[in-house]
Amino acid sequence: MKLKYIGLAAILLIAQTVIGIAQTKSSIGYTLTGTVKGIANGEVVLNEYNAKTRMSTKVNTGKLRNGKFVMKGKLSGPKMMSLSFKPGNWGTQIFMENAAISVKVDTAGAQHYDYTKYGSDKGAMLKNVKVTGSTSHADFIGYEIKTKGGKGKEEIFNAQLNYIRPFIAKNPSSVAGIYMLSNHYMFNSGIPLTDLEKLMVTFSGAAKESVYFSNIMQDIDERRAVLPGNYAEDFTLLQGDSTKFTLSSTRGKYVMIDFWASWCKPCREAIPHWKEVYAKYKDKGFEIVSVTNDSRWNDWIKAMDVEQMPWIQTIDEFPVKNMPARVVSKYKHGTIPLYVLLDKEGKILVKSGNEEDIDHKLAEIFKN
Amino acid sequence: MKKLIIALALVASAQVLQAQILRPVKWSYAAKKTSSTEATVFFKATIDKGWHIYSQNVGDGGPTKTVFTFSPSQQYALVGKTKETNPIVKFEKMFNMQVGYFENQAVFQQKIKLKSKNQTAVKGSIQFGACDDNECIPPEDVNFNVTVK
Repeated sequence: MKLKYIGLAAILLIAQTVIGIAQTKSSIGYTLTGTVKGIANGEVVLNEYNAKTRMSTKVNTGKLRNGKFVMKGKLSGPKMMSLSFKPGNWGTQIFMENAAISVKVDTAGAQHYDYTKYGSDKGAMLKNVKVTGSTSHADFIGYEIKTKGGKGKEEIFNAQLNYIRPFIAKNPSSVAGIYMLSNHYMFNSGIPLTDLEKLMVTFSGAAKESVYFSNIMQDIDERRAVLPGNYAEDFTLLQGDSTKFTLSSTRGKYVMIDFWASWCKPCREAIPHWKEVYAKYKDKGFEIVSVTNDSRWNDWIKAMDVEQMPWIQTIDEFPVKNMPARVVSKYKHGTIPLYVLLDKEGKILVKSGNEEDIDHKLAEIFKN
Repeated sequence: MKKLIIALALVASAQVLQAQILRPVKWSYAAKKTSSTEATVFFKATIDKGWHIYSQNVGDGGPTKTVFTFSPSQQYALVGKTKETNPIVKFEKMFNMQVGYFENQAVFQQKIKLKSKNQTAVKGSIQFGACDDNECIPPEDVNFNVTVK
């Protein structure tokens, strides 16, 4: 009897201890301790930036007293964040994780910027920052230092990839690793899909659960969606007489979408060629749909008067200020001219900036 | 020799930078104080081989002209227009106009009158478009912030 009680008590005690450990473990967060030279008293804000929405959200705030502050909290995983100090708006980036992190900041030598015109803020980027205690931060800084310099895009990109590849092979669950790749990809967005996918399969654990991983995956999906073989997303745009045109109304014909603009000389130089192509195939079931990248209607109308293109003319939309036009950006090409050839069902056959690629395909289609 | 301060090659706040497939034009800035009340701000575009950007004086309906916009400030006033190095000028039949453009590099300069004895920040944005013989990058805005010390 007695023994039974003791046993029960022991079980209860163990259970309590286990729960206790579990609770402590899940409540381990981060402690960010900082010293600041140049600002004595004010506010410290930790912000998280969302690359997709281009919005920042506040993660934590603290008081700066006599150049010192402490901030505590908990994260679902390591994340690159921005740390800013007021008065003024002095900022730096810090790779946060659940650990005891310390940061030393000096406002001397900071770089000032102003993005107020773009719906963002103004302030200064701190140049004198030392972070200790965050493995992710140390790893990312290591990457930045080792891949600094280099002449020309190719050389820089290769240096970055040559660092990233072995790093992620060794640390497949490192969030810093997927962040390196995401940073690299921001500039090298033309990297072949197969190369990118090869790198992406390396990741596991926390890296795979991170927003950096899912953002790249989403981009891969978007790039895959405009590869030959997929249906082109339908669109409705305005024509010169302000009536609407919908792409799917051309079903049953082979259609080439010509992304161009009045200010684009190479695009306009290609028009005489497309006139020949159009004359050759239009009675065999071929249509061209021009989508201009002009943001000023007048320039577009004037160019159409000069060029006299005998096919469908539409104008792309700029729904978000300072962002690329809506329809053309779906094709993730970056420059114009861009030609997209669709089959009778609206499936993408060819996507290219090179007119010869289209010519070859059309010759193949209409050979009989 | 007067002080020449090379200031920030494009403030690279990763927060605002947009992924671009091609970046054939890089901007850098500098400011030179010419007297206690006057200064000149320089904007240099370094242009990749084969690419070009256009003069500020391209007519409507032509290629994307380069446009400088200065944010209003209590600290300084603009003196005259933004000057540019001599562009290559060609009559473009397609646009039916004279078109000035730059290869390799272009330097623009703006004279300013200083209203304050302190360090002056000259801020604004540059809109430009770039083309080579085969393709163009749609008009893009970059911000600048040059400190006159």
